[in-house]
Amino acid sequence: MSLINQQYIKLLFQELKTHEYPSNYYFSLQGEKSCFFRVNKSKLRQATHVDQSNLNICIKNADDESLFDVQLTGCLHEDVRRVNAILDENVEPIELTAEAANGLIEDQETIQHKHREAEFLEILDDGDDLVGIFTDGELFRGVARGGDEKLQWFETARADVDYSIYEKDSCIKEFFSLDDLSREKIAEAISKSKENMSVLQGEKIELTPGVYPAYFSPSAVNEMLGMFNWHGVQGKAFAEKQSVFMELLEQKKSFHPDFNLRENFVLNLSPKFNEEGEVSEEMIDIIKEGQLVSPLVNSTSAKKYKMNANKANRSETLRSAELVAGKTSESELISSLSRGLYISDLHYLNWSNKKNASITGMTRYGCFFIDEEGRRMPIKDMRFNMSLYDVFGAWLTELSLESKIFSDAHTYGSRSLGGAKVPGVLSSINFTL
Amino acid sequence: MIDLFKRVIKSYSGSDFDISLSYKAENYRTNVFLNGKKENTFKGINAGVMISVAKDGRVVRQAIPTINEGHLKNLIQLSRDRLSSLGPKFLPEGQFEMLEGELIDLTKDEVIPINEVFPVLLNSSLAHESWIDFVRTSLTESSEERITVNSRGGVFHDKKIFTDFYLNLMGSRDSVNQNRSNGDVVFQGAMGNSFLHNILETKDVLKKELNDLLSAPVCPKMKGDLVLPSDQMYIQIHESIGHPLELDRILGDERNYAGGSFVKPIDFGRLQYGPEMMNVVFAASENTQPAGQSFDDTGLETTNEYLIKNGKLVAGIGGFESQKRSGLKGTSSTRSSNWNRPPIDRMGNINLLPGESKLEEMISSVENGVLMRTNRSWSIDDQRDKFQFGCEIGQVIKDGELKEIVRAPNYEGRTIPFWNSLKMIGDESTVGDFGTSNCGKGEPNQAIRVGHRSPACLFSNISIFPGE
Repeated sequence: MSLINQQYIKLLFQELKTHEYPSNYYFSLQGEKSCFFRVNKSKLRQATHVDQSNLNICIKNADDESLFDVQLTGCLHEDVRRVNAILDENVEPIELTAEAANGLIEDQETIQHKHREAEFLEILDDGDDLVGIFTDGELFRGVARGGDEKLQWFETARADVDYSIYEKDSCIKEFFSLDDLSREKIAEAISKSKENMSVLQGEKIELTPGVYPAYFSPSAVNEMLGMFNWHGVQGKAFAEKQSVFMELLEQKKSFHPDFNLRENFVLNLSPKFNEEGEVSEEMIDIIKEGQLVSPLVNSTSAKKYKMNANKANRSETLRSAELVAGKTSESELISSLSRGLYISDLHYLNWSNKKNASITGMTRYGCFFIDEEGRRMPIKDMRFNMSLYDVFGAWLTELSLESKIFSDAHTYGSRSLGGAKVPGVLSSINFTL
Repeated sequence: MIDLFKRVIKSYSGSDFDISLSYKAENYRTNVFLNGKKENTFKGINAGVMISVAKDGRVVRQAIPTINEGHLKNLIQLSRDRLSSLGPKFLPEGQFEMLEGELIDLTKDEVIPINEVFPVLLNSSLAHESWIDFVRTSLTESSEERITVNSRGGVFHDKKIFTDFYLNLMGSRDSVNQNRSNGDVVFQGAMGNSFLHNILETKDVLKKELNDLLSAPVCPKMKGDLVLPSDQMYIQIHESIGHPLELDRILGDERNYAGGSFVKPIDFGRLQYGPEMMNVVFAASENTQPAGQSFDDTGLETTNEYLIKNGKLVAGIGGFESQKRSGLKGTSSTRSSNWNRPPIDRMGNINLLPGESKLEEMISSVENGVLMRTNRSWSIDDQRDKFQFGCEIGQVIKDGELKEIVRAPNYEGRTIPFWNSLKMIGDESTVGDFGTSNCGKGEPNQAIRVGHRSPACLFSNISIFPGE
């Protein structure tokens, strides 16, 4: 376990007397005890263990909000001192540095984390050119509101297996999550990746720009779904006319009738509560039958822009998204392609035209071309530029029967929670360069 | 804290392994104003220690948020045990060195009292016009302190202040929505009084341009000349020079996430990246740029280096570990984003040196082209070759003269042909300082500050098209 756990947080909240604060104070927590094993050429490149927890205090006033973020140390009196100092409007944060450095910290028993790296690393075969990261450990989230003694808590243990295997310049990428770094499951996945490499043998062909029929794997679709969190289905983005989906809101545009996007907390990828302790409905339709039903709206946007709140999180992003699956198997969809592409992965997406929800980006890893006779040939990576209204609308033929669950394995400062359940999509792609 | 670290390390003297203790603390304060009202205040403290235990070029690291002596010692012991079990599994060419010596570099910058900053920010966020829907102004002041003590007698300590300022005007007219912003201004040092005054001047310019944009046609599609001032040049340099020159990308470490590089080891000393007038430097000593520093996170003293000299690729971006692994010339730029991440190869201040052309000379030499300002969209492949960029505002150039303003200008290209189409480099009067606070790479991810100083440049025969 981490230096900081639920028991410690309860103690800290007692000491801070959070239940005596006004009800416009929200105390939320996020923490992790993680090991990151970074690998290149099937050898350990970096082994890093991180133990960190942060307390975030939000004060919601009539017209504005303040957010205070404190790194917790696990030492009760130091943590109380930091919280009190940062809440003081008159204390410049910069003054905290020296004090934190000099602060006395109580002795704390070290609890050793599972010590299994050597065993897990045995499965890596020196002969493989495998590169990536294996992450293991516990994550928690908690929240309490001023004036309330109740502490809501979510904790989980999750291992993320994220690697690429190369043979010359051909590559198969794999990503999945487990309860822990199971040797058997990882070995099985690596062996399957190597089998899949067979389709990428031979010279890579260079395609000419133009629109091609394409099957987007769940991973590629998930990459595009990620864009819905960036000037996408956020209440604030619509209110400030910054959303790429303004024309969806105005019903000038729509997606395909089979395009159904919802928040589905039954997947249990993320806590149902947000940073204010509001508990979301289990299912929230965002886009139904191609039409926008409800943007993600938190209480701040609801008040500021007079919108209907649906207990979204602070950033109004998808926490447990599901793109509803279709009826035809992936293998049938792929075999229906003639002069088309299997798109395994996409890279570095950005909005190229916000008015029309157009994205640009690159193909990556194991993409291949399928000719009229069903022969499969690896391709040189291509740039594309196209509207999501086309990919998930006019061009969309079908979604696959099978879905894949992707945990949100982002590690921007700390490990993320949440994820998405996503099928593949048979549609088209517009190559430009 | 230095004494505490020395004491902890001394208790292991005579051991067969090395220890490094690195403390990093970051404090920040952000104020956000929307339409003349305070919208958000953010304040935070983030601090901890990275314990590194090394033997024979292999390292195990533990990051903890405390500086408790007992806890530090327990984890050093634990790391050592782990190191012995993991030893054979490490990359054989992995290196880790402990530098000796003492380097201290403490900034004397003071933050401006909040009561002086508030009125300016408030003023700059007033909308005033009916066609301006929202104006958001955001200012972040932060400090970073680093202390590293190691078992080879090395002591490194510095403290820096950074300022990030963002001003964004959002307007609409007749179903056209447009934004005009100052780009992302990030620099090292406190916000001076001149900067405070500039905020309101900047806003007036942006306001006029937003008004123009709301009635402007979209950018024409053409093969033509492209003039890029520094607020677009910075991202062009970042994506198509900075990243592909990172030695860890060239060594393959980043292939599963950020990507590799089209640059191969054999290209150093040979590849003609651009025309002879093109010179790109790693400018560690530029202390007002975001990545100015006198030593990196491994304790390597920083020196300025040419990366591209007279158009030829001469050095990569990477610290001593990557230099040893690759046998290539690099830079002192191994950095960690925070206490909870290990140091890796990062850009520092990567600058294109000015040339001799005036902006007017560049424009008057163009028969048919577009001048594009302020990046708003960026994308490049994982080998850093095929890119597409979009800007907030464009202006058509016809027969040597600036003509109408156009919205949603985009261009695309491939890195080496693009840089070799560079025809003119602006002089000192066209130079601007930009950068980003969120350059991301690494597994786990590390977002870090980098700086790019650049003159305006003219490129010929580029594919230009509208983003609408």
